[in-house]
Amino acid sequence: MSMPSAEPLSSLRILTAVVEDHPGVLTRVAGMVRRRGFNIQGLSVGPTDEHGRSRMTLTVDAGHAEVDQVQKQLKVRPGDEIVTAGTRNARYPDLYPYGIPIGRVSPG
Amino acid sequence: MTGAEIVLEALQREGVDIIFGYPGGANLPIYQQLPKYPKLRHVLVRHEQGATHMADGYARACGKPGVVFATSGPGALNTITGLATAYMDSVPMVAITGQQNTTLVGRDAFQESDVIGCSMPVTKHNYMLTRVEDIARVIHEAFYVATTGRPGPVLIDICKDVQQASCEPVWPTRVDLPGYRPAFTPDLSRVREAADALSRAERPVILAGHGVILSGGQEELIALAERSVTPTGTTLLGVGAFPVRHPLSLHMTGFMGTGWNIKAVQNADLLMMVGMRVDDRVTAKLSEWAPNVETFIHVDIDPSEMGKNVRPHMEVVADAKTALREMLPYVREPQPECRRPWLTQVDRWREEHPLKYAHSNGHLQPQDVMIEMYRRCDDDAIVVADVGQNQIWAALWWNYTRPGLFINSGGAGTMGFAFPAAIGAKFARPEKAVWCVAGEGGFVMTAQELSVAVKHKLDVKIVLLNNFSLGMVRQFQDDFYGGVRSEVDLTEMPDFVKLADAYGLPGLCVERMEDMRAAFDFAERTPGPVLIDFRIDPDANVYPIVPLGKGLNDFTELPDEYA
Repeated sequence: MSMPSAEPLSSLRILTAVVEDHPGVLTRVAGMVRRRGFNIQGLSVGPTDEHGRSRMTLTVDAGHAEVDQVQKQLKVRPGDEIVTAGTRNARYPDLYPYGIPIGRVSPG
Repeated sequence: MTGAEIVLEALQREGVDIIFGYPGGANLPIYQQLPKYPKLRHVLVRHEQGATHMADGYARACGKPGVVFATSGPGALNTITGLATAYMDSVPMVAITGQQNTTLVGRDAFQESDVIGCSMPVTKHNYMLTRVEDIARVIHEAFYVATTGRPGPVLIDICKDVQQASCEPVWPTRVDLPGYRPAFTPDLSRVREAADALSRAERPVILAGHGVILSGGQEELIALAERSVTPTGTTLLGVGAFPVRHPLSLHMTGFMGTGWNIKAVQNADLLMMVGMRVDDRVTAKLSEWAPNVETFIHVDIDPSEMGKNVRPHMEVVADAKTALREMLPYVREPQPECRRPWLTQVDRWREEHPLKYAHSNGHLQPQDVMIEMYRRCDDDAIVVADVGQNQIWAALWWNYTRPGLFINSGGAGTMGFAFPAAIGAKFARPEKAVWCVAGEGGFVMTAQELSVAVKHKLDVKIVLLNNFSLGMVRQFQDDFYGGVRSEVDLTEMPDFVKLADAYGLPGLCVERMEDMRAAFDFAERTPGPVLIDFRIDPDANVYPIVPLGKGLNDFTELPDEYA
């Protein structure tokens, strides 16, 4: 498997979110990402070991926008908790490696 | 208790004293219980959109969240425009809508619609309740979410069978929302840094937005501007946040802002943006906005505003009042010789680019009407403006010497907002005079609420700036779309004096300058609502204006030959 080149991926960011597990949360998160014009390239959702919480992992293409904005936007609405984020261009090396939930940045 | 009783009891516990609503099939259980709660005053509107704008005007006038009731399907869908209006302008509101029975949701039942799906993009948060046990907690949460952090509307959709079910409610004493952490206190290190930069700048400008008014930070803003000797302007939604006759006032900014404000923004070396989103109506063409600024300071309660439109050098995430108060002790008074050239320059721009309008073409000028109205406002009345030219005239001729209440739909730009919002404002502040400024186009979009003003004998004076056309669109077509006047003619409209009469309030028509004062006199001495149909110059335009798609430097003023 060849590694994808760095250039086209520079606006990709992987976000993981721990969210309350009730109907509509996926719509809510997807809606927020869509509204800002970001494209979701990959998505997976699964239960956590904590009752009533699920984890979402999103690969988001921030396109022309600043990648940080995705994260800020997702943080401000109730019920949706972004706990950690990684990025393929290693802008935040302490949150590398991408895609693997590391722990809670902001504990609930 | 039944679910319906829990709803009403919970509202009472939240300190609600007024509800703007409309009953229907899916909220009948709530309305059945309503008479048992006489402390909850209910205002029966004539259209659910009116209810949301009334709740909005109420909230903006007194700071408490507005409360709306609507039934399912069309009732709830009619609230969408009002929710969006409140959402765009960060106004606290709680809307409670009825929904079909839980067993019928998703089966295309009568008056069933996906209200959660429809309202999601235009509310801060929403809930669908399918269990009676959740009502008490969710209503408490809804008020908490609506009023904390950056305020906004919250919708609660309650299935009818849940309203009829019973349980022993557990009244929440705290809110448990792990993912919701509004910024309550600013980062003090950033505050100090920002205050330092402001003190050191040679050509600083402060722009104040709605956040200053929402947080009640007007006094703090004046103190900070005075201590740092900084020229201060406002956004359209921030009108009223800074006294417009203050020597440091830059008045309104943006693509229809004053010439001296635009000049100051375009030449500033430091720009502090307080409680505002820096939207396209403020910046015009973003790449040409504030080109000489070396330091952007952004103060806002919402961290997601930081860098959304303009990347600031310093971010202070907190409500405007707290941030300004915390910043004040760190501001050093600049040396007079350091700031004098800048102030002299701003004063010169103020003289070179005054607000102008066409005085002597034989028509009644809207600006004359505004000047006369504001003379009677006496620094104290609430003025609610609609959307379009009337809104900008009302904002530009705003003349308060102290911080005051100017209400308008700045973000969403919802035509038809002003009149119901003025009704809500009057319910919130009955001691205040309330003036509603609207064009004839916007006014007829929600004019059915005249019945509410008449029924409650509300002292709302309607100043209709009637130019027989959709004036702002007409101006854009004339100036930017090749002069093709397409579908803007409103010659066929009701006789507004007869319309007022039909609704049971006095109406007057004024066509000449000489009759203007007598009409205002009549309105002021007549209790209850009064409508004045001012037949204004059909070609009156808004100036200054920046051509669509251009930068602020390209602003155009009224040609001298018309002034």
